[in-house]
Amino acid sequence: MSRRPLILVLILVLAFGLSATAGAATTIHYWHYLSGDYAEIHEAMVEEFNALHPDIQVELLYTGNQFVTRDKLIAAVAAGQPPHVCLVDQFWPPLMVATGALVPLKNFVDTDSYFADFNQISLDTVTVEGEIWTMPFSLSNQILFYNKDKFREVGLDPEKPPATWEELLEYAKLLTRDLDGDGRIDEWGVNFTTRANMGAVYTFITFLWQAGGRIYNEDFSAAAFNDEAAVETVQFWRDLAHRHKVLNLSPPQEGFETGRIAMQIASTSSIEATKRKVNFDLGIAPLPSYRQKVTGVGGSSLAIFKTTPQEEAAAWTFVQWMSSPENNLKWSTLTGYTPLRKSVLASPEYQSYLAENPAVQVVIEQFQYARARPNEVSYADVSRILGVAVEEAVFGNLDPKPILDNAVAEANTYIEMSK
Amino acid sequence: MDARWLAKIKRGVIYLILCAMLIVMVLPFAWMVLSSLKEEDEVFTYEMSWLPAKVTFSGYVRALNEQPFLRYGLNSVLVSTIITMAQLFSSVLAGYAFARLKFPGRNLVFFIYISAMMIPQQALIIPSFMLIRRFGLVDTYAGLTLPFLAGPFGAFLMRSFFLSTPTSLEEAAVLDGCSRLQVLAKVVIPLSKPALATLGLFTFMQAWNDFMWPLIITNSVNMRTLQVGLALMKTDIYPDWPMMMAATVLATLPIIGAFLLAQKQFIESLAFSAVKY
Amino acid sequence: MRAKRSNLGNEQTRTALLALLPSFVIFCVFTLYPVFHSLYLSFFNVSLISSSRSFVGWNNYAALIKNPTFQKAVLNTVIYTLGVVPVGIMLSLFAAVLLNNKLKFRGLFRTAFFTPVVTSMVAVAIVWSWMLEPNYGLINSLLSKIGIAGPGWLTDPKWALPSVILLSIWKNLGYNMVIFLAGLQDIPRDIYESADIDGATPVQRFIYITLPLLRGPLGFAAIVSVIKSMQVFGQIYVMTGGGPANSTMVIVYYLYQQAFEFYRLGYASAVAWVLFAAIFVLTLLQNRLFRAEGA
Repeated sequence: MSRRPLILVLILVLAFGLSATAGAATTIHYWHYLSGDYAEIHEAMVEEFNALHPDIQVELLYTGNQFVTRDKLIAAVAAGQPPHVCLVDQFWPPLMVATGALVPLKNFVDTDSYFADFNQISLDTVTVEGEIWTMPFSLSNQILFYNKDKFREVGLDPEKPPATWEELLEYAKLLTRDLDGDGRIDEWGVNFTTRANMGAVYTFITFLWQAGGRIYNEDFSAAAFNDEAAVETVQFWRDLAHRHKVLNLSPPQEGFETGRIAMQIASTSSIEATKRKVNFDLGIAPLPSYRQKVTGVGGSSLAIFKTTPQEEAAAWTFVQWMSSPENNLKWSTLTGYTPLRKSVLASPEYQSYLAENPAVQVVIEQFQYARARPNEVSYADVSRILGVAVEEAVFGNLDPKPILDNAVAEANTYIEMSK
Repeated sequence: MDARWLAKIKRGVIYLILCAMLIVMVLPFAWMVLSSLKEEDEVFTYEMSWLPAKVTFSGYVRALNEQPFLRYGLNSVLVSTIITMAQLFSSVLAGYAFARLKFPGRNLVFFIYISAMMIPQQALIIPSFMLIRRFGLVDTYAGLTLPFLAGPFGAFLMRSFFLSTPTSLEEAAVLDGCSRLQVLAKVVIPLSKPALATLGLFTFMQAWNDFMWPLIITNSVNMRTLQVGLALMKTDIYPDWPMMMAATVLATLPIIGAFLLAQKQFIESLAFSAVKY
Repeated sequence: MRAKRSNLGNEQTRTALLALLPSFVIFCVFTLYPVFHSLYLSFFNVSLISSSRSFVGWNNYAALIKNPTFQKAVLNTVIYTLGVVPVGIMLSLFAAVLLNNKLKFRGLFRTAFFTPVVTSMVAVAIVWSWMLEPNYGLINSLLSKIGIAGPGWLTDPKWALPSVILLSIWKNLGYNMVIFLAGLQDIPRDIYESADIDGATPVQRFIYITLPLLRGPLGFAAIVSVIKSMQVFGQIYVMTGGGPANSTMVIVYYLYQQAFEFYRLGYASAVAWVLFAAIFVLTLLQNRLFRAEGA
């Protein structure tokens, strides 16, 4: 590893730092897309940072949900006015690296030794072409939330959540009920995001992997989501919605929390928020699986954009602090996100959190078969096309095969373009 | 007797149909206001109720606290005002030149102007964005307003107005030794107040309601206009509907209020400024 | 005498150029130049995020025509226009004819019908999204009271575009109505009176007198509505984001998405030019149609 950039940065930091000592604190603009409960926890952390660092002032800006934030971030980068730091979603780093606006973390530190404490999957998502580009901040995977009270009501064992697709369907049929006999379903068996512009692809890919399917072929030269496994996966979703009518494609808002949906596939990051909201016996289980056990990895990291050396250094101080052992522990136990650091995972504090929340153990165990989305530049286009195709078959109640074939053909034109 | 009864029935039917239409037209606004006064959880019930169980302004508090909503409003006021003032200024001058002054190429330039009125804004948006980016004005008030400081429509409207007014007063002023620009300032503009009001209101409303350009040209939260702020609020997976409705009430109330006070001017400028030519 | 006149001409020319300058500079920089620059860009591969660009000839246009999403966008825009314009104009005309009677509260009706016109598209699209919400929204709640299970208006590919069409008709009703109302008031009363003497029914009166005399306002409303419909964007952005399954993907939303979500400025410029050309041709056609008939 070359240390030259580091020394250069240090000299510059010193030079600028000295010249700026008389001036005001360095202001860091920090964009994020967290809303609801996380936002409050996150904001408190940033406030604490500001209190502890009088020479750095982090200005927190909520820029809209992650899709809006991504567009605004790219536009700001294109205009040469990026924020100093931005929270980026798990699959953005390749795109961000392609803009040339990111500061690689090796500019600040010897990444090999610095990130030794981070678990491998958290580093996989921020590594592009062998280098670490952003600071891992949160790590999640997908799990099954279920309402134990409803399980009891329909005579299911609340301690035996569905383990396979087959069981998922079977249980969902029992849990889907028209309680007042007006011909309208009042309680739905199962729910997950099915709308492409709400992030359905993330869930879909996990199902696809479980069925043994894949998005790209071996060498990432073409799309491959039209094989038998993919058709089967889409067909499963379609059947859940139309044939068995256990999945509501327009689910009631907060349906799981209010007891109108009995099982929900969601991110581990919402464990604590869901616990606070529900007033029933909440169950947390590994994802039901099919041919393979797979769960999808989600999460976010903190990207530092090229500005002035002084500001970049301040930004680095900030992102380090956000994922420091203390804060990673705090963030994990308050939200349900999985610790990034091996030391945090092993810490007595986290272990006692696990002891109090045995269900969270599920999440930790699941990580052995967690899989991250491909780090391809064409992924943005490919996932848009895949999402629309899934919507077309599932919402339109249509035969998936021709739709997926067309989508693969369209995706291939974009994959070719990106090479 | 028969005929009178028929007329009465006919009148009754007309009222009935109109009232039905009235309900459809007004219902969304009523629903907006009623929802804005509900508790966040009250809307998530299958048993719909018209009136809030308990009137609360917490939606308004959330709308104002969770986002810089007042800042959005201020941005909208500022941007629309700048655009309106500049449009009036540039359009009066250009319209006057086209209507009253002879200069080489006048017809050609005017022809280009009216032809350009057919170009949709979306066809210009990418190069305009690239220009603003090259000027380094993305995410600034200048970037928000620059492309709209003048436009062929304003020049066209003012020209039509000037052509429809008699020139005798202006000629008299010229004979008195006034320069053309003095004539414009002292004679023409005071007589053009109705046209200026029409164009001003039209421009203001367009700028106020414009969405696509502010959407692409603003990045940071503090530069967003009301429309962008509102639209991006809606992108949450689980929208907080009472808050959204409260925000929408806040954003629309000033305009609807102004409309109720000055209906004639609004209808005149929004519907007829385009018809007149 | 001659010299003086030419001096005067010079003075006029100078004043004229000075007066035209502010408008002309903005016009050139933000209208004329962009039109041609957009055409130029459409022959290049230009990215929002990198500075490299390469000439690709007609490739962007060729790719565009072959692209299934663009084809869908064109089709949806046509369906949207066909949905909004004829129905919208008929309803507006209907309302105008009703309001053209001597009525109490006429002003009230006119005001109420025009209010959506002054309200921003973003605001009303948000309100309608809430009304159309499938589980708790006003419309499905009302439908369920009469025993109908309403669809997921904005989440069902079959209903999403019709829902957006409905909103647009509602929003623009007052605009066209006011124009027709003014047209109706310009029709001299005595024409109707002589028709009454001839024993014409109200329907006959409408078809043989009102409609022909309203040709001007009708043509105007048709052109404006068609152009507006081709440019539909705000309600799509707010209500559906082009989904589900591209069922509400329209030309301008596609342009926006390609340019500002996927950074293909050259390709999106080709979309812009296709849109421009379509609007241009349609305007000329309609202009000719209604001028020829109006003459």
